[in-house]
Amino acid sequence: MERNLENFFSEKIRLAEQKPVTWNKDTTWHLVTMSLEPQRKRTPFFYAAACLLMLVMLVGVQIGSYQADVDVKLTPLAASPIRPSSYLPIEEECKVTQQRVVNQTTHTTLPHQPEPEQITDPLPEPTESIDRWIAAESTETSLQPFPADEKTPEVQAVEPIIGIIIPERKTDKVVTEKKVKFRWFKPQEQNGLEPPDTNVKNVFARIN
Amino acid sequence: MKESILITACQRGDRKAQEVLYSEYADSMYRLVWRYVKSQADAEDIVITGFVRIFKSIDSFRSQGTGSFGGWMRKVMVNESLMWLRKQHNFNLTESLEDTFNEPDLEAFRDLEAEDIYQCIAQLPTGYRTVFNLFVIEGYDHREIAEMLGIQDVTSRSQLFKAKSLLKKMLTQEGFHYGT
Repeated sequence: MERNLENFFSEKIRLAEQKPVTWNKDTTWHLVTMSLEPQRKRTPFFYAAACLLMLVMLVGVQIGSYQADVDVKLTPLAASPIRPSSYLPIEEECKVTQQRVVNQTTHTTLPHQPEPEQITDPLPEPTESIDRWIAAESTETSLQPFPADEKTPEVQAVEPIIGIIIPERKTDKVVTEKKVKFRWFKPQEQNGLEPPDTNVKNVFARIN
Repeated sequence: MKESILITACQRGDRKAQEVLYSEYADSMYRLVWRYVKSQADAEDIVITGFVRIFKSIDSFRSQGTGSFGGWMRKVMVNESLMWLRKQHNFNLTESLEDTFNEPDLEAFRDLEAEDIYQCIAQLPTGYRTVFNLFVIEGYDHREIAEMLGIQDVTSRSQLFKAKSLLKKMLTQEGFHYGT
């Protein structure tokens, strides 16, 4: 009984659903077609837009890097002032340059240079000059700073040297050798009682 | 145009055939959906998604005799409506059924016109209306309804019982309106 009633409801409702009803049927169909089509139409446009965007970004990055390089190269040039008024057209510049060359080859005159003065002062004594030279060089040597050790960046403790460094020159030294004769005196000879015996061998020593 | 030819043309993607099919079934599908969601704008949105799904999956349809295509389309639309309802409504928030209650007598509905029954069903709360539509109009049993709505069988029975009770009250009490 109950099931029959439910079937009755079902049939009644299904019949009611067959009747036309007022709603946005055409708009809904348009939206249905729009939902069916876009997957075919939008996909190429999406990929094209993505490619275009990537291309624009790539070109922008390259232009930016090129502009940075140009700025770096032009920076030293920009420091020097450019005077366009001082430049001539290239044809006139060539003519002027040729005229300058001709003028320089025909009318070149060396400026008068005064003759060097002759030294009239007598030279000092050789020994004195050597002493002066030694003194001057020693003072220069003492005043010169020690060269920095470039190979070893570590700071090393440097102790100051007090004194004068005199270079040793063998040619400047006078070699003097003396021979001294030694003799061992006997006690009588030491007292002066007897004359020294000349037959005894002498001992020689060299004093430098 | 014969239905089988129409379906074959739609399976090829013929837009004209799709339009003819839409014109033939759109009104009944809209009414069906409206019976579940009770809102014209929501019903139109569900009809759009339902027909898009129908045209995209029409290749999987296998004809099993006269009227099978209409039944298949109704099933798709009911599923779309339930998907929309599950986002809006929690079907688990229902009371348990007391078995001692007697089934309400709906014999008085036999004298009503189809449109009056339609309006009475539309006034039921969402949970009651959904189970009533699925059980009485579509012909699903409680196990299938429980599976479709994600609820227990007893909950489906309870919802149906209360839906019938409310419909009887609508008949006996003049001017009674109940619903969300």
